[in-house]
Amino acid sequence: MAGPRDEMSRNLHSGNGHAGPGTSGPQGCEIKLLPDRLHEDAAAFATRVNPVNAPLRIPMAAGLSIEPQALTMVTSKYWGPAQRRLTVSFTESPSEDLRARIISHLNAWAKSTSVSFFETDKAGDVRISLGQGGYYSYLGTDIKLVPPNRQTMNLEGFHMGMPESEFRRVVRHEAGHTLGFAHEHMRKELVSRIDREKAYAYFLRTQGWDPDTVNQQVLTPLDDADIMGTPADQDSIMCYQLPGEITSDGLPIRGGVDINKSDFTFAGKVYPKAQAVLEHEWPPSEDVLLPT
Amino acid sequence: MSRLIEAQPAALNPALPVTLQVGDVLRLAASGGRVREGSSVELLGIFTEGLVGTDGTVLTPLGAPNTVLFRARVPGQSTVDVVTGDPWRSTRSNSVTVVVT
Repeated sequence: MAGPRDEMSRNLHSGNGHAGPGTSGPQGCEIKLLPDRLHEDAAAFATRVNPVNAPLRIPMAAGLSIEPQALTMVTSKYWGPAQRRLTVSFTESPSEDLRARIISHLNAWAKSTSVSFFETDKAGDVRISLGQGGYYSYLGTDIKLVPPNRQTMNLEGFHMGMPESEFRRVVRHEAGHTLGFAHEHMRKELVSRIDREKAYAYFLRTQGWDPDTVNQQVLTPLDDADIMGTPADQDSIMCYQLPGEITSDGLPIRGGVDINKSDFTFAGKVYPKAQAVLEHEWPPSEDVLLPT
Repeated sequence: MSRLIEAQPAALNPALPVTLQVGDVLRLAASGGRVREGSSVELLGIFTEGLVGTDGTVLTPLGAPNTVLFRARVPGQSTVDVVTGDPWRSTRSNSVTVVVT
């Protein structure tokens, strides 16, 4: 599974992990943050040390790709390492049991992370519609930029009669996007298994998609340098199922049906339950110059 | 004046043609579509719906395409396919007759 790289690098590599004297809060390991003025330099240095530390470029619709620097400085999708409670509301008025069931699946991620979801009777951070439009979610902190009268997540047609497996597969997948996780099937290792001509023919036949749409939806991999996460995992909840009919070896990309162990582990590293702190900020005159 | 006409794919009756005027655009909540027969309508495109965020940037959700637009070009009759459902798991394709006057 892959996530928003620059902020995660900051989270995971910015301190020695030991709280200073007088620290309040949870006992044990805490994660230290650099002052804001050093984030860009630290990201550049981390990238020089290891190119896989480079900021994430998230593929968007055709023509809407975001440059790495813009992502680093303006549109990071990461919620940050602190404990976070996201409020949830519904744009329609589903039954109480359906609302509770959906929220319980959003909270499946809370098993290993510091992010949790709570219903509110006001407009929530996460606004769910069950209306037409398919299944989707805006990515990470982008949901805070969605106008409050619009949904941030769509779960078309969800109802209490649907099997539990669909709640696990779909609701947990969309919740992963809300946490900032991209699509796993866009990993190079999985895209390289797809025969382009077979994919064009398949999606033209089944969906009417032109080659540009297939390229954008299926055939454009995330760059290795943009990825921080587990090795490509076709069983990740963030991986779509793709048929053997379009792969070179004839074997399907299985796709995840639930959050798996690898997903939980990675999400827990990105959003650790131990709270990160910024304290004892030193003056800029004491910043250490990075080697060039 | 041309019209933007929204239709629910599930509510379309294959036995009842949709009647449009030249210049109308038919919008369907669907993941795919095509013109199967005729040339009175054209497929304008298959889109992922996005929006302008409160900071002025264009935001695009992660998910499959969810909007299909057809445009009425010239008088005549066409048959279009509308694909709904989850493109990665199970989809349904319904044929709809469109009459352009």
